[in-house]
Amino acid sequence: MVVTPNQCATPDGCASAPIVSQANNDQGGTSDSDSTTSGSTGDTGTGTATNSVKIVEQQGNVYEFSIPGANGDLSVITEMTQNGNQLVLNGMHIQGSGSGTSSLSELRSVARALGQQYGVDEVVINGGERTSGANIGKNPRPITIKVNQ
Amino acid sequence: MTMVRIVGWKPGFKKVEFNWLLRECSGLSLAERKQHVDLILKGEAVVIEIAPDCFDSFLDRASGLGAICQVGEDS
Repeated sequence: MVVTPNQCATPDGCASAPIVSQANNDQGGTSDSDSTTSGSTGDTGTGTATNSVKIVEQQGNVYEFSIPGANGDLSVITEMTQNGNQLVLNGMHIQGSGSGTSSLSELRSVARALGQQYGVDEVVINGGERTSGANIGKNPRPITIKVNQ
Repeated sequence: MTMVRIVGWKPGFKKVEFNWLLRECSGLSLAERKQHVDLILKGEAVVIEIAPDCFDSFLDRASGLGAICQVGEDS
């Protein structure tokens, strides 16, 4: 199933649509031809370009997302679980289109978009071990992002 | 099939692109690929079965992404 950013699959405007229910590829197969866009999410953060989050692939609670960014698409591979009013992203791997092409503000914008999609108040990001930058080899500190701020 | 052992990573290791390379060259699922990448990041060696039609380019591509590889024996 393919849903474009302006074609929400649910009558409530995707405000509370669980992303997992829109993905038809829960068996681990790749799905580039069966990608799903998780609806129009708006951009309530300080990021610059995020207005849609596309599920490229999903298996269980592991997701690959593609997010348009100001300097090219961001790709994210992460475990994602919902704990009450929190969406928790564990072991997040993120990659932009090149060095310095993504920013913390864009990351926050992505997190808010996902948080709105799930109807949660907070998104907690536990990033995977850094392989570049100043703190190489270390796990970044958890980041908690308020969705409606 | 040829087994490749990934024994480490270099600074600048491109985790996401390496996951994509595994998608292309192995039969691993998304969750398995992420688990493998996470183990590599922790310094644990992992052995991955690479499809024959991908093997010729796999080592160069993996190395270019920052993975440290060793070739195992054919099975």
